[in-house]
Amino acid sequence: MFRRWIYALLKWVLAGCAIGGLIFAAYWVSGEMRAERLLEGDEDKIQSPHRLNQGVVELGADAAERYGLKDTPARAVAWSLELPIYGQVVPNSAAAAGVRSPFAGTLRSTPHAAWPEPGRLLRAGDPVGWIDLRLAPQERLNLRDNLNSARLRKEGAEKIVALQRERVKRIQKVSESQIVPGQQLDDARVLLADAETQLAIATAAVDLWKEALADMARPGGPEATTYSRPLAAPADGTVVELTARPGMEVEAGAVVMQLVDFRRPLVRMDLPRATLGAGPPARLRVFPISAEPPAPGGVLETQPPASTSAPLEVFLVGPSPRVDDASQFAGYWYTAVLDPAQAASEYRGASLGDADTHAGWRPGLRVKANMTPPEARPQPAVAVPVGAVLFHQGRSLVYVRVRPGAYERREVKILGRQGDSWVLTPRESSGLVGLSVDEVVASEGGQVLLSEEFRGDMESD
Amino acid sequence: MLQAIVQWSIKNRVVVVVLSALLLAFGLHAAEHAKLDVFPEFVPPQVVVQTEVPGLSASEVEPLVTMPIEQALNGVPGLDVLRSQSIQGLSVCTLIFEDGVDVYRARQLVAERLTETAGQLPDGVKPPKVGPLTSSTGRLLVVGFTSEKLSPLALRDWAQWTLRPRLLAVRGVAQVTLFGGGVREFQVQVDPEKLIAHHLTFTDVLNAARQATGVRGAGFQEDANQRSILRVEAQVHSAAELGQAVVAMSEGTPVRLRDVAAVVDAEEPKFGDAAIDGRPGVTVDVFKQFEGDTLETTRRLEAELNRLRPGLDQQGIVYHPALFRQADFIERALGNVTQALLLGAVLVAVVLFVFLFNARTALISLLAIPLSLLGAILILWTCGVSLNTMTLGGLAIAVGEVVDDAVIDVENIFRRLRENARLSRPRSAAAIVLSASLEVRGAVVYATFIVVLVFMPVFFLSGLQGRLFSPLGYAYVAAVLVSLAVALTVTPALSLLLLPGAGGAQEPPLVRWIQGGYERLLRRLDRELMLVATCLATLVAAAGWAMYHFGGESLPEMRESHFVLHMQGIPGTSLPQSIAAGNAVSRSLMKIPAVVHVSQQAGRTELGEDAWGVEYSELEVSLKDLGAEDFEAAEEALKAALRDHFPGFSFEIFSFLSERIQETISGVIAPIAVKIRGDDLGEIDRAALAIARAIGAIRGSDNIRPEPQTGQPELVIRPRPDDAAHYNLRAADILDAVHAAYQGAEVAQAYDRNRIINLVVILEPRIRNDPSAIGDLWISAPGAGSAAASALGPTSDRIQLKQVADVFLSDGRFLVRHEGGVRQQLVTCEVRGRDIESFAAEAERRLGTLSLPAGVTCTVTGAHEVKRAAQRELLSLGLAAGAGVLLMLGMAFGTLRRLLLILVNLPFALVGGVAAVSMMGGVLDVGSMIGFVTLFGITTRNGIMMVSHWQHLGEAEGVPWGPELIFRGARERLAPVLMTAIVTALGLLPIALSWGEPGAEIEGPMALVILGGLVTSTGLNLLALPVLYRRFGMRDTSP
Repeated sequence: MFRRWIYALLKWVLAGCAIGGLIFAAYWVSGEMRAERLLEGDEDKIQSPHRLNQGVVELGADAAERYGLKDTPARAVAWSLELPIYGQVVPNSAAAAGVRSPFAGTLRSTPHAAWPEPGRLLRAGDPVGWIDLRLAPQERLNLRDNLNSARLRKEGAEKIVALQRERVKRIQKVSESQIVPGQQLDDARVLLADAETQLAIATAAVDLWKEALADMARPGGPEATTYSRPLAAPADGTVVELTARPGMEVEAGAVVMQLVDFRRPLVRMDLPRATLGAGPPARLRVFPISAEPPAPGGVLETQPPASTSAPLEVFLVGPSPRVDDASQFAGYWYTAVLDPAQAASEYRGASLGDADTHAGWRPGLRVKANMTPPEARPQPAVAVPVGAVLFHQGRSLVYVRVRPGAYERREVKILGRQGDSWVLTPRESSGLVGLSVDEVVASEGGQVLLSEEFRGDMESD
Repeated sequence: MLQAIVQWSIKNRVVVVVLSALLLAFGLHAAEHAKLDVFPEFVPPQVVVQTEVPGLSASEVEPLVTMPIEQALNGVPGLDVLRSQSIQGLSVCTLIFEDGVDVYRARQLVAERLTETAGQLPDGVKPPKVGPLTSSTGRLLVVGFTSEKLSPLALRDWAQWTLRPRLLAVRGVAQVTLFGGGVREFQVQVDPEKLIAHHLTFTDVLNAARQATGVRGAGFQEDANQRSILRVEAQVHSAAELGQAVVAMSEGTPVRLRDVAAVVDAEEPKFGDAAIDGRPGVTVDVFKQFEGDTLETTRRLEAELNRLRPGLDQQGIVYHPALFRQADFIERALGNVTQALLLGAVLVAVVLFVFLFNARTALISLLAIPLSLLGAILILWTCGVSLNTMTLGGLAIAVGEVVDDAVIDVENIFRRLRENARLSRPRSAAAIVLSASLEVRGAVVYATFIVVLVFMPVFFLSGLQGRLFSPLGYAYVAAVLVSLAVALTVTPALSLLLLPGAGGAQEPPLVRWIQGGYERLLRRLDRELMLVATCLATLVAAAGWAMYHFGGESLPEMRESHFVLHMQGIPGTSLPQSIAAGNAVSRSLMKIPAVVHVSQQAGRTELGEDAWGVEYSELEVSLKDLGAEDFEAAEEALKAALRDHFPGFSFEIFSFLSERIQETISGVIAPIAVKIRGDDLGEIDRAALAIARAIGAIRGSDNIRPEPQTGQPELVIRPRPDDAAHYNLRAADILDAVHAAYQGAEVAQAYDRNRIINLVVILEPRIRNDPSAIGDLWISAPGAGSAAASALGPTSDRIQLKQVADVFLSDGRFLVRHEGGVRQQLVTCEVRGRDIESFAAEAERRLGTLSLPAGVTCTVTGAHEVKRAAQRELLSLGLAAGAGVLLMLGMAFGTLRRLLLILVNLPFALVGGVAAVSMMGGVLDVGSMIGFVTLFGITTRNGIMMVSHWQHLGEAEGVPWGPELIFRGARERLAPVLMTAIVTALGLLPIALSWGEPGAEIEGPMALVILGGLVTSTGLNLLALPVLYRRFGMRDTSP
């Protein structure tokens, strides 16, 4: 009985051990396989820990090299806001002169010389041609009448000059005691100068008629029927227009040809009204807007052609009388500096084809200049390469190197652009915005830093 | 009826043999001509509508383009889900139809609906395009080209206009897309200051460029004799020619385009690029047609590419073949399955011979394998089903099963012939064959139908699982049914032809030996009912407990010699940065010895269906042909190379097939995903953050991630209407000016041979890429447009943008997602340390208490839902199938006791199957579940064989009820039960052992489950069932 009982117990124990062993073995193998599956199965996404430590992206030197990250120090620059303004070279009436015929008559070219053609450079006094007058009795009477009128005008002018001189002397005496204001003395002097000018004009007119009559009285005498007078260029310039040619009848005072001195360009610049608080700038450097064709098409990468024109220094003349009623820009005239010595040397022996300093500044040429608004003051700033600045969540950012391979994000304020650099505000002493000079920023590959900092964030900052 | 079939087969045995030979021949023909593919079509019928919207941001694409298209397409018959994505420059609408919808009809309906959108879309939007019809694993081949000699423009030009047309002409190719290089266009890069210098406007340049080229019909001239066609050659063929076009006359001098702009060959603005092994190049993706043959099409493609090869060297183009080649997977999978089949067949042959000890019986049994498999292939081919991983897997799993019928039949026939030979008056061989066949026929037919019936739920599975596994079921069931037909016809016929002379043979020695031992063991166990029952109950309870703790996944990880690496930076990352990072990754990966090529495709391409920004890249990593262990080492090396070495980018690594399957699941990849819907984008973003916080507080949550849809740096230009009105400017004037300057205005096309080249007027790059210059953009101001005003100054008739608009930095949206026409956000989450079901339930409770803005709703879903739905479906359908099985068994055996005793095999099988799943890591996927389904069918057969034999002994042979009936029946059934089990197991063994190898990811676990279940069910069937039957299966004389 006991043996049977032991045998039964043994059977159960053995069966239990066998079953238990099988279950345990299956459980153990399952555990091992589960651990292995967990290891491989969960990593479709390759999780890399964020390399962000207290606001600093710890990229590491290896990763920085792998991505080709480059650093550049910020450099100090002086920044002032500049506005591009545009203008155009316009005809300069002060540089234009006309060759006029003093008398009515027939034009004739100079013997053995051609009548000037458009484009020819003339100096003041260069002969242009002749005007032949017909001297009938009526014409002689007219000339004498002209002479008489001129004499009378001269007498009148002499009297006015004398009166003005006395007035000036009187006021000078009184002004020494400071009873009358200095303004009166100035006005009196202006009037005297004007009177002297009129006297000079009248005297010149008398001399002209006298000379003409004297010429008519020479060989040929009073019976002569023609009188010729040379025509000369009144000032330096280039012939731009011919209104008459040899053989044509012209009236007295008619313009025979127009001369323009292109060495004295007049530029009309359109200035934004908002920048005119303290008046227009007194001087500008203008650049031509080149209409030169670029390099022939068909190349993949084109660089803008180098400008072949030097800038022109121009000075303010005054407001332009015409207003652009649509755009409301304010037009101002500027003129270039005329160096008389240089101008003279340019015309000595000048001919068509010679380059002159201002040959390119013809009326119609579009120009541009940079203008500093009056309220803009030069300020210290820092410049970084364009690749250093990133844009995220409406802000401009750079990454400043705090140690090799580690970068800290910094918000910056952009002042403007200079070529391939952004100009930024400098950092205030305790400020969170801005950059200090010589701080090193990531200038290439900074997007990787931004991407590392903001990837997988649950919330935006 | 069965008797009639068997009788006819025996009578016309030669005919049967000839017919079976024909079946073999046709089956081979079908195998040779069947379409070969990686997977069956697992994508539901879907249509993708893509609309290019150059220059518009995501926030603009959505209301202007996506919403009108959605409104037009919503309500298409058969539509299940309508999803859309709006990104910069592109709208993609994906229409997913219900299963069973004819995809051609669906495309027709969509195309009709799209015509409604004509006129609703803004100017400048290209017409919506319906994507080509490709298959779910449509990407056939990726090749690459690099060149030191040719520029990126020239290389892309060649690829686009020489290579692509030739590849498209290959039969079976649906689409060819290109990445990389530069798409050539003639660009008129306008210098604004030159416009000022010439007193011209952008509009003048646009008009001049528009009129610079053209093609017009010129008609013909005809006289009495001849007709001459008139043709005007007025097209531009180069940038230099285009530059000659006159813009205006200035005092008699023509001002040409080249005087105001750089007229150049340039690349159109890119939204995608490519690199091959870290070098810039062009990649070519070839997609096959829907239901096309992968292998055949690949061969034709490669032949075409080889024809081009000689010319490539001359042009200095380096060809990189097979950066990705889908056919590799098929060839490998085919090779693996073929190897498994052959090995299985050999093992089966050995076992048959050992057990039967007769070459002829072994041969007759073995012939069932090729007949059944080829017969199944013939059926599949006739029905248009391709041979793919799943169908081949179904056939491979059926190898052991198909031979069972023949084995049972042949074994019984052989035994009866031996017994007949020992009789004093032996009967005719034909009569013995007939009676022996019929003896086992009923049970085997019922067993076969039960096997088919338990597989029915697989055919009714919906979704991805259904589409993937149904073909496996078809193949398996077809093979099993053909094997039944073979067993009813060919086996008896061949037995009569080959076996009569074997009547004097002895019992196989192995069988004699094991029968003796078996009977002794059985008698001992018969005395220990309590012990047996307790052990059984313990094992079943342990199996139940283990099942309760199983993890789950929908599909296993696929292993191929090819990985797809997703690499993503934050929105705003530029294309050059993505490429540079990709190059760094490529260089690092190329150091791994197993890696052959790494090619990168960043962003998207015009003809592709992907809606990715340039911050996103896919890297194709092709490996050498590796075994399972080397593959794992290579995968680990890849992950190690990426982990923590490339900050700033996140990576996901997939096999090609896994990636395709993930894309098909359409976004619900994470175990838990909360879909947030609403009208206001800001509100749903805020709701997403609140939901993410709420989920973060739940135990087990990990890696919570709202889908990033914002963060795109934007420079916003906001017109000031009052200032603009002052200059008589309307919003469209400003829009047109900015569009032309920065996006480029496409004004015409030039045609050069077969090339179409766009003519685009755009601002010059130096100014265009300077953010600070945006406000300085000159705009023609009509208000100052009088000639008098324009004569006053160079800028009198134009203003700068900053005078009429504010320009400022902002943070924009790079993606707007819709589902069902409603805006959507997504919060995904992983679960650790607890089961997903309870986590999901708790998440639903917590989110139910969350206060969301009005109009915002949220739904908890995820990949677990997919798996749960599949489990629910399988369970419910399984119960229905189970009811059918019970009915059939009831019809076969008549009594409840016998029915229950047969069904006791199921827990026997469960124990082994669960043990197998546990030893694979305790993860139950759909493949394993189908393995269980298959297992139950197989093991039921063993129970039927035992019980039916006892029934036969009692009713047909008159053996009295008692232990001797049980022991004799068990002894007589030992050999066939063992044989069928061993044969089935050996047929599956090569597949089970290749678990983890590429090509066996789904069949491997299935085979292991069946194998494990067979071991326990066979053992318990032979040892426990007789014991239980003796106690509970008392003789029932009722019919």
